[in-house]
Amino acid sequence: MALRDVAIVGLHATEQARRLPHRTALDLAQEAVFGAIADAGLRPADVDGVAADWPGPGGTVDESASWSRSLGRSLNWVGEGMLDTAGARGVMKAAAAIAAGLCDVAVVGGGLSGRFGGRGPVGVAVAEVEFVDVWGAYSIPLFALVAQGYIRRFGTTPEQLATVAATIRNNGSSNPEAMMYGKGPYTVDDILASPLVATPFHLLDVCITGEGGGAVVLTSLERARDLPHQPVAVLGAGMEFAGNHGMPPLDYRTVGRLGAAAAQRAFGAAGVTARDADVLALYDPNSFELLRQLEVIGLCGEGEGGAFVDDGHIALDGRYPTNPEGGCLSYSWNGTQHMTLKVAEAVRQIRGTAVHQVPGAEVAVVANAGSGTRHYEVVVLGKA
Amino acid sequence: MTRSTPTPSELSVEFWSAAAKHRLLVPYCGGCGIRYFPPERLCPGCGEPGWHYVESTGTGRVVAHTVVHRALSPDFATPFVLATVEVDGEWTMLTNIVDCDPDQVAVGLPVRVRFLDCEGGALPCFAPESSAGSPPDRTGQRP
Ligand SMILES: [Zn+2]
Repeated sequence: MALRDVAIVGLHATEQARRLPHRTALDLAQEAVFGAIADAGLRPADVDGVAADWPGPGGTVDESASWSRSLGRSLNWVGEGMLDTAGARGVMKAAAAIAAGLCDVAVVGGGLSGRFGGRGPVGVAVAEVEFVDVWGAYSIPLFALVAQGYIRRFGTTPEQLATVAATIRNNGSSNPEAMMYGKGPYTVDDILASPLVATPFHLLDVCITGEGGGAVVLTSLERARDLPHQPVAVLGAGMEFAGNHGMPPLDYRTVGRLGAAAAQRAFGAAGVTARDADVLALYDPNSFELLRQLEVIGLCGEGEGGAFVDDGHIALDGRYPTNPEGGCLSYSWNGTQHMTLKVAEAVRQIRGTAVHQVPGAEVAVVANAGSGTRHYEVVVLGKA
Repeated sequence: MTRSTPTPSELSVEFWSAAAKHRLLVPYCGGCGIRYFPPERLCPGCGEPGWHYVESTGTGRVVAHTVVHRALSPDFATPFVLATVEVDGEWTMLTNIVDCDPDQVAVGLPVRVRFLDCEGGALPCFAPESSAGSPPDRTGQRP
């Protein structure tokens, strides 16, 4: 069995909000996991592989095997640790485990509450790495260092970055599931008029912060044929690391093209190129990082991202609708499971059940992380 | 507002104790002849553990910078400049550019280390080479 013989068959997104004081992390994670299993038309005891957040109480915190008792069975495979329980990375590792015969049905996901919510208006993560926080660095300024070098080299305008932010935020404005539903719509001028966070980023250029959960279920394509939903195959995948997460220092010279090699491997395995994609679910911690990814996945040349978005390609009615649900800028950023929600959105698009449905979507690209974090994971999903 | 130095690791304890005395040290590998940062047990150039700290010239150039207007902690007065600085023409570190108008900072700006005394020691920041101030060998003497 190869990666492409594995399919995503179930998904669940919990409510996403700036704060969910009535929910615990475990409650969100369990809703996500059991919801995704039910969506797949499976029973909890069918799941023998788990890469899912276990926040406690009960079990052992961060140990995926803690799910064994809730699922009512022993497990044949687990994944855990940073981001192995979420998004493109979680999905490709679970798919690899199924392809290798280590397990039959795997669930990837989880949820968070009480940690990031209420911390402030924007999504931030501080790398627990020495020589970072003593200088006042956190995720937004770290990405900003890379962005500044890019802008200096290619002359990208503030309006072009703001176009990215406005486009994606406006997708979320009209998505009832989005944290920022009903806010906006935003013009380029609105983005530029919001206060600066770290040059070149304005408040509306960077992702929101909040709480919520999500999960997806994978199994072999063969088994997927008997399940209720249109199977979505994991056509190809790749990951790339330029050192450890948050390792200082950062600048465009060293991490500017991070992900290009991973994307090339993913598309190579999938037998398609970025130009075959019908919809994109790219990581959008800020406007620049999304622009950069349009280039590294191969939709346009290095430095051409600004002109590419000027041409309207990433809009809902463009050639490559990007983050139709509103992405991390508007739909959800909740710690890590917003990455799983990007997979869920891509699967919904291919099933034909998305809120902002791209007509006839068959191929989707889902990516996590980016230059400011020194790691990148990308999966190519397709109608099976 | 109080900034502080980190709890050092066994790799960085010498770096931070020197910084407290206003001396900028950097790992140097005698095996392959490179300076690198941050410290690692095995040299990223050759994979050998036989490195030691040497004194940096404390001079460099801004490679990348951002003006931070929102700090995560009230210990930071905004706006402040976060920058990647190439030091000794060879190794790079994350730092702050201080003692100047943030708008004055540009890529290529020559800078010199300027220690910021704080709780637990001192933080090596950098200031424009042209700005008034004493070189690190004199600021090295603590009052
Ligand atoms: Zn060496």
